[in-house]
Amino acid sequence: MKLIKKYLQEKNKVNLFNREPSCLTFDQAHDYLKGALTKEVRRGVESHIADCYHCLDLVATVHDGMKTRPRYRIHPIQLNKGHIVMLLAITSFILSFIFKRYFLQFLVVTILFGLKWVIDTKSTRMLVTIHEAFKKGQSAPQDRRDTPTRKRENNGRIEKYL
Amino acid sequence: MINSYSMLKKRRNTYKLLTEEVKKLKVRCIEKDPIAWGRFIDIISPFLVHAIRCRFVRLHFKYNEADVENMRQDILLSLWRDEKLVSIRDDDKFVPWIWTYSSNAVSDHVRQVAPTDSPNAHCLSDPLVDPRPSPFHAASNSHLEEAIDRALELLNDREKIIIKLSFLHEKRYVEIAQILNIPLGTVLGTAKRARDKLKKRLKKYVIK
Repeated sequence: MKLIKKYLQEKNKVNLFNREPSCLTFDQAHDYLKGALTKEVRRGVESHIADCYHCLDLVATVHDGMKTRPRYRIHPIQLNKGHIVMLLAITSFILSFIFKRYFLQFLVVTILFGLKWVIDTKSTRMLVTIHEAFKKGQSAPQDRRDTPTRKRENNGRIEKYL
Repeated sequence: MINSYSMLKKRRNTYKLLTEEVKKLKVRCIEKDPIAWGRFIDIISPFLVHAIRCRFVRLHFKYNEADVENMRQDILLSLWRDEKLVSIRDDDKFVPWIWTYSSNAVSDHVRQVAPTDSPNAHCLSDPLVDPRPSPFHAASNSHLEEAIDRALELLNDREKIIIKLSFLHEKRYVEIAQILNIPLGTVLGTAKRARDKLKKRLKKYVIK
């Protein structure tokens, strides 16, 4: 039996990619597995997949896909470092009103946490990167403005509005 | 008891069926809504990775995590670029379709990457031993292959399918019964009959 298995594997390697016009489509394979075909068509499909390695593989693959019941995890709210810093800033801000004696101290803490949050967040970093890139390539937009297509676009817009 | 029930309930809450969510997202994805695509990619990625790995294993291809990641990105990109989601009319077919699509993509990749037998494929660092079987072995193998081929040809369609699904695709008999839409007992009986036929015809090639 091992010999037959090896032989079939070798033959499968060669014939797996040989697709003929009479081969099954995905919909046909799906309908076959769902039992939505008539007896005659079903027999025809079976006689084809008995000799066609490509179609048998397709049927086995579609069956694998139908068998799997994929589920995905709904992530609960996860607090990252940025969220924690922001929460601390809000808390100290509220505390500054409760303990009026330490108002200034709490306010300073709030500002510090607020700054930390602003610096740490991705959007700020992105803004800084964009600003730097804009500074470096300031000449580029000016050059672009002079291109004939741009001019034509602008003229078109002006004409449209006039 | 209460603990296990609460765990089960929690699990039910934290896990949701992919098809339900995808059905909602599909229309928005077809309209190329970037937010919907972001959510779609988040949901579908673990499933895609599983499908890609399964296919690599079935094709006996040595892969690493970079291959899987590249394949995942290629599949998602082709789904976006070629607007493949439009072709799925029936929502119930979505999961098997995406599984088959990713499997086909992996097969194409393997076909492209697999080394060819052309002389240019070998380099100087290859050992100077001829990897091909000796003429004696080649002759005996071809003789045996012919015998196996003839033995397989004599089986009927259903027996052939059962043997191939069992040996080649390593399917269990329960799964084969599901595929062929016949009772398990019939599959077991047919498989036994097919194996007996093969044993009988290949008896003289078995060395005791």
